[in-house]
Amino acid sequence: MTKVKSVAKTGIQKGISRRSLLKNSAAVAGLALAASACVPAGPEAAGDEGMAASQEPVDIQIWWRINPTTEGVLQVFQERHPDITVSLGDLGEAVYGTPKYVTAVAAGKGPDVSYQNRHTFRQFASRNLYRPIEDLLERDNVDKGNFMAGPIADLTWQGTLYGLPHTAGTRYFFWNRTHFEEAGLDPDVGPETWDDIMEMAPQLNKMEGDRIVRYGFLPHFPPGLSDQLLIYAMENGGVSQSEDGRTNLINTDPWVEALEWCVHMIDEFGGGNAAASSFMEGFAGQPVDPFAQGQVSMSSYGNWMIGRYARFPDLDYDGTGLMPVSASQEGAQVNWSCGWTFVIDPNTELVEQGWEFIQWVISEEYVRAAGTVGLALEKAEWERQQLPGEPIFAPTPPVYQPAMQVMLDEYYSVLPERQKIMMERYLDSESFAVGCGQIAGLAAAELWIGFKNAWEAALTKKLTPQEALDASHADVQKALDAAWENLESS
Amino acid sequence: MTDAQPKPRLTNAAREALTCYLFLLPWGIGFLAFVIGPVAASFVLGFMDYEIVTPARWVGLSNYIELFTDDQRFGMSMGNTLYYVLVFVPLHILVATLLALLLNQKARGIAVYRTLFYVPSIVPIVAGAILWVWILQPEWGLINSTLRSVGIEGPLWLASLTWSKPALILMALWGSGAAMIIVLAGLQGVPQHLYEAAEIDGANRWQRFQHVTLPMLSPTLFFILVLSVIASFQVFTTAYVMTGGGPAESTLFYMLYLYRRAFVLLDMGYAASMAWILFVAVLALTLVQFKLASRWVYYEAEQS
Repeated sequence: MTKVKSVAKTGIQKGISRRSLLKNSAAVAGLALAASACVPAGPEAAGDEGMAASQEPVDIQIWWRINPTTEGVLQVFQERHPDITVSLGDLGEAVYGTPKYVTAVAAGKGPDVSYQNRHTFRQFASRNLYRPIEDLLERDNVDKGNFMAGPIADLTWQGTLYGLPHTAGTRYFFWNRTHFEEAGLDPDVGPETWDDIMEMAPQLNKMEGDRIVRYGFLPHFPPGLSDQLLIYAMENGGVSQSEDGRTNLINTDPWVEALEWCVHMIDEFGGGNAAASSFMEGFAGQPVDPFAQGQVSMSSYGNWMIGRYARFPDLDYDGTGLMPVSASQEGAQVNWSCGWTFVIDPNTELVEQGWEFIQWVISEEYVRAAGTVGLALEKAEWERQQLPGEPIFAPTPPVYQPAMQVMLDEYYSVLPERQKIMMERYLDSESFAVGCGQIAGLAAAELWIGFKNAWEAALTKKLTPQEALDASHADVQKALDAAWENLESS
Repeated sequence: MTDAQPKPRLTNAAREALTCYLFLLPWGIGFLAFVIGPVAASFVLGFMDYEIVTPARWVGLSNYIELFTDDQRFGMSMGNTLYYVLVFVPLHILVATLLALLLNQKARGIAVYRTLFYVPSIVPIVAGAILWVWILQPEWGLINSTLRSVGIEGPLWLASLTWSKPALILMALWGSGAAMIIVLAGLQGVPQHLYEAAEIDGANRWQRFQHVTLPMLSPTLFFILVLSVIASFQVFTTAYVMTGGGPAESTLFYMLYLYRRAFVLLDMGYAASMAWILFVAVLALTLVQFKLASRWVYYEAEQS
């Protein structure tokens, strides 16, 4: 468990050089103060101060991410809430499961507040791992309508809300404008259908002898993700489960066809799985991906890369949240959305303090504090890398609409024109994206493993796409049946 | 007037025993609470449906029945593990023995060589695993680059169904230094007069190794064999860090599957039953090894 002051430890963990660590630490500390000064004192501040004079501050444990941004914003939070101190701990692995949190809560030693991903949210909400917050919403008149609808639906299980969404993100299709121009393609227009991709990919491939040195398109992108299959299946009209959430559907035709298409793309335009896997393995664990390096011309990734790709001055990129679809789905708007959420431990006695923190961390104040700290870090990074021009800073989109308005007014509106348009396209995609919590349902952990297994088994030709998806379907359905049975018997 | 001393309530021996037990007590409490307790609890949990966050429910033998009749991954993960055990353990003993024989020479700077070969075994396993992900990288990793320089196109290693397990075994062999040190100690414990006697009898180098070194080393090799088999059945960290069980579950070892059932899928009762099956299997195998040991392990004390 780390108190929020321990910036140095974080720097070392992240592998930052001593010099930049010291610079960043100083910047974060200074800008946290500046950020707190920027934030107007609300009416509750006076009350807080009065309370602080008479009471010892209450310490709450929060499992989040330990990095300069979180530590910086927590300094601001504590200055604004002198009645609360925060012990910050790292959440550990938590995208496709949350073992650290689960075991801690089961042992009655969970953090008061925790960050959680929505990939597995409903599965854990249905098992009472989170405190329902309907009573707090009602008491404090927090309107669910002020949040993006998808994330709120993800966090709702049997009519009850179990957390407040913090950030969101969708899949995003990028293309390299320079490569498009070289290949005689219009750099302003990305592919809209799978047929477009199949037409463009060979034109964008670059060969050295019989070896591909630049890939037009690789479906298994980026390296390391376990859920690529999902977006391709959705692009082909696939849904993961029946409306009642009891029947898994990942071995139905749209899924099988999608996986067949991915295998075909790799065989036909990626030089086969051995070559493509060998190429992708080269980027596993690296801070840059092959699209950023200019070695892949089109990629299906996430909106969070809009800002990150700006750090590559040689990369002239564009993108959209409107994912290319199969011929049968032409004209359909397809995407899925996921993101992070704050929850309260079902056993904590510090509900009020935890709730106070959660309300703050989704608010406009937080956006300003995180923006101030984040911009300073981005500037430091641009300086460190000696990047040309002004830093392009596109913070993670919040889910709370008033906070999003601040983000739009103060950060997205000052982005360069192209990134601004890309952000607008992202926001559009959130309006039709399906939430990952709804997609995954009650056997979420098994489903994400099932995607990975089917994907790998089909790409390595261990099984046909149909066989691979049948096997994953059987696993997920079994887990789903057990989950419903347990739920109903309890 | 007699100078009668009051009779002590405890004899010296009893007092010593009591002191001994008092000193042992903290360890005993810890052992009961943190070893025996969880072991007993896991045995009971093996007969329950327990999702960690919901109350456990008694299901009798159904976890065990499901494992043996309705879980392909149980067989697959056990198969992957057996492959690892059968390939790694002999190679591990061979590498450790060969290294120990090499490093048992009287050469200049031998202490430095011994240290160099021992160092990998004290590298933290996660750090070593990350290092090996880079070494095994198919495009520009050290191994394939070296192979390419002599005209051989290396395999995909961790991305290959065929080569993923050998890759993990190769990495594990890199850490054979600890076993090497034990064998080296064994070698240095072989009495010199046995070699002299064999030499007088006309034994050549190979015969001295075969009839003196190996028998005298056999208790050490047996010790390493038993420990290696037990440890190999529990292979987990390298697969967890380097492959996550992939590609296509080709490195889904038994312990990794057990971990997944327990902490990802929250199926703790099922995982507990898996743990007990592994325990029984390893125990049985260890007993067999002890039974067979009399055929090849030479204990000087027993002979005399």
